Amino acid sequence: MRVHQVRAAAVAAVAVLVVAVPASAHQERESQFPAGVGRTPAYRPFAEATPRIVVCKPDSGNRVASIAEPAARAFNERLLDECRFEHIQAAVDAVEARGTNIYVLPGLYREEPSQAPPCTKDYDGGIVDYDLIVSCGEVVNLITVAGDDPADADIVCDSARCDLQIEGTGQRPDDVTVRGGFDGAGDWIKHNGIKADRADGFYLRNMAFELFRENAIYVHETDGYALDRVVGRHNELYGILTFTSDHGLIKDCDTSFNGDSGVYPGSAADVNRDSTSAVPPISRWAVEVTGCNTHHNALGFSGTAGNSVYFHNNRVHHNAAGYVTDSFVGGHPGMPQDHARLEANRIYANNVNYFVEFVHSGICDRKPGERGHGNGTVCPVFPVPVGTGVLIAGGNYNLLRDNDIYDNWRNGVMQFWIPGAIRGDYEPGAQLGTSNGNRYVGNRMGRHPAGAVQPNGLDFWWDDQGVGNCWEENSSATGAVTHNALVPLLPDCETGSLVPVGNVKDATLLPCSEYNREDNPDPVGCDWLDSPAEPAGRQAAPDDDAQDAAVAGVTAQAPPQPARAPSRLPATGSPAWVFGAGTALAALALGLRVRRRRRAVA
Amino acid sequence: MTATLDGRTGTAVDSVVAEAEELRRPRRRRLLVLAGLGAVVVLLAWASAPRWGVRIPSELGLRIGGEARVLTLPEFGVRGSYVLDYVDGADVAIDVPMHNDGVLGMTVTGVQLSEEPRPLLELVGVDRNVHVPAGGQALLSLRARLTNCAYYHEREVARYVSATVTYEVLGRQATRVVPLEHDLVVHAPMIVGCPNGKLDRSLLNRR
Repeated sequence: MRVHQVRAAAVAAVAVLVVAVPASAHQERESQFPAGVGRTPAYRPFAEATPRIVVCKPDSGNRVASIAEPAARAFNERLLDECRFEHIQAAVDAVEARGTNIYVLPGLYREEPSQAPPCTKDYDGGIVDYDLIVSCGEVVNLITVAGDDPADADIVCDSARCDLQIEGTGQRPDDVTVRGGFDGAGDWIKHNGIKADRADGFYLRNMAFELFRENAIYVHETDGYALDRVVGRHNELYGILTFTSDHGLIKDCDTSFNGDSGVYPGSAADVNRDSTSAVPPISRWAVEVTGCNTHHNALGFSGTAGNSVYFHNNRVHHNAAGYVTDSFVGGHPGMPQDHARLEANRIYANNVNYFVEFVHSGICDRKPGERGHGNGTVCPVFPVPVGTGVLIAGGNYNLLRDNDIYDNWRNGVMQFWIPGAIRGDYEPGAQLGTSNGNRYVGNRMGRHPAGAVQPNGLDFWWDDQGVGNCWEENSSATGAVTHNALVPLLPDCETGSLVPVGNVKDATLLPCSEYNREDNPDPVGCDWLDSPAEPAGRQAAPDDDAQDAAVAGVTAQAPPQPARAPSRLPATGSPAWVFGAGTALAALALGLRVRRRRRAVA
Repeated sequence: MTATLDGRTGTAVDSVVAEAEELRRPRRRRLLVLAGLGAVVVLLAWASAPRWGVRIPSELGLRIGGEARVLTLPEFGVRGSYVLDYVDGADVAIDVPMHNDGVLGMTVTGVQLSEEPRPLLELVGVDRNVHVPAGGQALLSLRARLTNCAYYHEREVARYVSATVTYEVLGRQATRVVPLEHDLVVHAPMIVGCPNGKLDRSLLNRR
């Protein structure tokens, strides 16, 4: 018997359905998962890279000449001779055969022809459907790779742009930088840096993308993609965004200073949705994320419906919150979130309070071009509990194993229930369908790998809700792991948790969800945006933390904000003074009368 | 003092009458003062009648229907939640049972759910002048519309925690803020569900 069917009876439900809701998605057109029959593309070395197209800028020759390493310089000089294009989009448009390789020589790519071509003039700012992506992707993208023929009904890549590989040829990703930036009025020039749309087999390597209204690198409805050694930074939303895509690989990335998250595989293909276990057999992953350094973002990683994400050997640090996955936001295929696996990651020091630093200070109210994006400004668009390493806001069958989770001053890991209705699922059985079967095994809490004690505010925060959640063999530098469960010991994996209905520990979720950066940046009743205090007994770490903090360029810790009590307006019809004055007058009259009577009697 | 009218001398009678007059004057003054005080008390009682004369419930339960889906989740949030599905332009019917355990009848003249500009759930109609008798109850019918999504971030929630009720007692108008039994929660939609939504989120400042 399915667990949620049993639990449904516990929910008082009154449902009235009249109007059907369209299947929606991330801030996107209606989206769907690809068929999932593709494969993760393999990198094609130069020897196998035919046909190829080379892109360069007028100053690429000088940049190539300054490459110190002889072999790399020689390789670039050879490609320089083949250069026929100055803009990457022009090279993409020139692709004539599947499996083409575009080499991008060192330079700064602003893609001027894509900034405001005539076809963008009539764009109204709303949804961009796939037909428009094909005919004029420039309405939102600086570079568009669209693989599907819009004339057919499917979303399968069937053009020359399938299996496209785009590679920067510098020694570092920074050597080939694609920049959006701001127009003369101080507004963002473009929403996305590069978007691979239904571009199965897309491989992007060794390039940096920065300063976009939404996302630096975006992969959408694509079956088979790899983002390898890429940088996404200083964007209003995401460094790397993938949506309704499958067979993905994101490796050795660096994402920073993004107003939402560094890496976001949202609505990753729900390939294990029928499994009720967090441990093998897992059929396969929708996306593997490894070797990434995601830091100084509002969220290091996030994934609404971040399903079947294999996240391992990454560093997640100096964000407001580290790894966040949720079933909170509606319109995401694949809900509720399930089957992420986090292994061997370092998730630490996620305490940077960008809310106080840039939102409450008014800096984020300025025009985008005047806020200091590019110089450390981050304007969070989404509220998170500052100081949290991992947050699972309504997820199932996730496994966190062998991670180092330390120095997160609010909570190392936080897990709570999200009822289905919040995300638009009004089936009674869906109301208790999250926060089940999550496992936390063998994680090292509160200790820097070099040995320094760096406690989390609390190792595990849990709302006591859900069935089959368990904690086993986790260690803590301060003794037993700390937690807030109502039971003295967190449930082990022999039995797991047993209580389907939660308590009110998640009281701040709804007030915090009223956060709106422009209109309600500090919601009443929400303490998530306050800086948590440094845990007692914290020792300095010997190695990379100081460097990490220096990179931030912002105040790592802002003073705590005073908690505010909810305001309640008093009744206005009978003001208190009327009642008070009346009482006083009556008392005066009574006293006068008594005194006169006494005098008369005398 | 006691006067004895024995009729023996006119002087004595005059004296007694004068004495009685003396006695009556302060009594009249006292009566006048008492009448004045009584008038003040009546005036104060009238002025404060909305407070002492009616007893509005300490929280309002809602019955929500219409064109949008809704679930009541007593376990979600501190006070439980009514979770209403945003469908742009959909009409929502909200019935509010109003009890009055006081000694005076009241007439509800208005209800507000929010004073915020551009609410996600906007009241578009309220039954005017609904009389709630002393010790009785009546049903307030509110008509609301789901709208203004373009002014909300797609991850934002609008939460309504109380209703501002305007009512009249003995011709005196009053306003009281009454908590809802559960928070009324509406999640803003994604752009697909928001016909006027813009990708640049340029309308998020609602003021």
